[in-house]
Amino acid sequence: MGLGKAIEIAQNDLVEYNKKLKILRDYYLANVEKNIPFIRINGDLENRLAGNANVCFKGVDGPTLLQELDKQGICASSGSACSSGFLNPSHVLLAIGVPANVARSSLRVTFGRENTIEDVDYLVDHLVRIVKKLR
Amino acid sequence: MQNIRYFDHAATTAIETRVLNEMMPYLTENFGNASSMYQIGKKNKEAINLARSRVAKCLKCNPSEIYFTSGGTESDNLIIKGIAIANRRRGNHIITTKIEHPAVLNTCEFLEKYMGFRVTYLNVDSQGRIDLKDLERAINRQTILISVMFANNEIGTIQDMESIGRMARRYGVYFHTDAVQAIGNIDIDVKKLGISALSMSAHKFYGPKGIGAAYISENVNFIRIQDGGHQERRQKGWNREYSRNCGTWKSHRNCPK
Repeated sequence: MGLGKAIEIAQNDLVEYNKKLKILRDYYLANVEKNIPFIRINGDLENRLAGNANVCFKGVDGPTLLQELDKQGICASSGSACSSGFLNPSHVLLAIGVPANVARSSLRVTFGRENTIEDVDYLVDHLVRIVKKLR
Repeated sequence: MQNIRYFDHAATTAIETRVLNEMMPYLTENFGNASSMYQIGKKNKEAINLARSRVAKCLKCNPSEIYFTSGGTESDNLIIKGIAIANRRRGNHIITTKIEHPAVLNTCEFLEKYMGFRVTYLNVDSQGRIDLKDLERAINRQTILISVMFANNEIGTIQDMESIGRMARRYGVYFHTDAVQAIGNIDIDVKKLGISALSMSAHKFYGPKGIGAAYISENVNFIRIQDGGHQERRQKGWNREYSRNCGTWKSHRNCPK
């Protein structure tokens, strides 16, 4: 019953949900680009899930970045959830040609229903500070 | 406790209140086994069928083509191994990509290592998309299955499903897609896209953890890889391989090599 109901709701909300996620994602990327130097945005910007942003912060260690974000109550990932915590760079980032040392600095942010623009401001503010500190 | 700001929806999501409310009666008073003869069990069979038709409606397929599983990993295993083993006599070659989820990559590796299959892992470009010419070049007479994820879990790249589906159909090769990240984000019409089988997981779209589904087109030869009772029409799945689909494979196979 849970799967059936969840898929029905998701299907009905599809258009609105995508619109919302895209606004959050584009706002996040624009602010990261504006405020943090030496970054690399990974993946296709057109044929892409609306809520996904994957950015490498060159010179920053991914797992350390996640720990620092966690201290501020921010949950994000360094790639796929399954490989978080391991030191191996993501096989996906390597496959799209990201050098191994850069791949280790990736941060995957995936937005959802409950996120707001204010949440994104909070995230970017802390990212700017933490990335500067870790570099 | 500090306010949590959650930006990891590709990993998992919190269950929606409306979803939980819908589930609650079946976790408490209506707990009966759906295969039983008494009311509280029989009612659950109706509930399962309702859930099945809701999933089918979303994918625009037949409810009989939906199988419930424990999640994305089980769906990927069930589909890839089930198709590979059922079609072993027709060919031993599978095509997938380098950026699949480990549930697909490790399943393919298993088939290579222990079952004598050959697997081609396609490269992707700098945006994470496969080249259709590479795909076409990789198809040969032994190819039985193409497995390409709908949308990538790490970088969100969406593949050109319609073209892949068209090519799979042209060469008479089955087309599976891991759509765990796509469901709830993209409107999917499996028939229009030429998808033979698809994997999904409820907790990625505000559903409960521990449940997923596999869509397997009724035109696909596959066998169950897990043995047990008759839940999820496994017996029927087995019969299917020997009845409805015998002979359909060769007739639409049209490979140049």
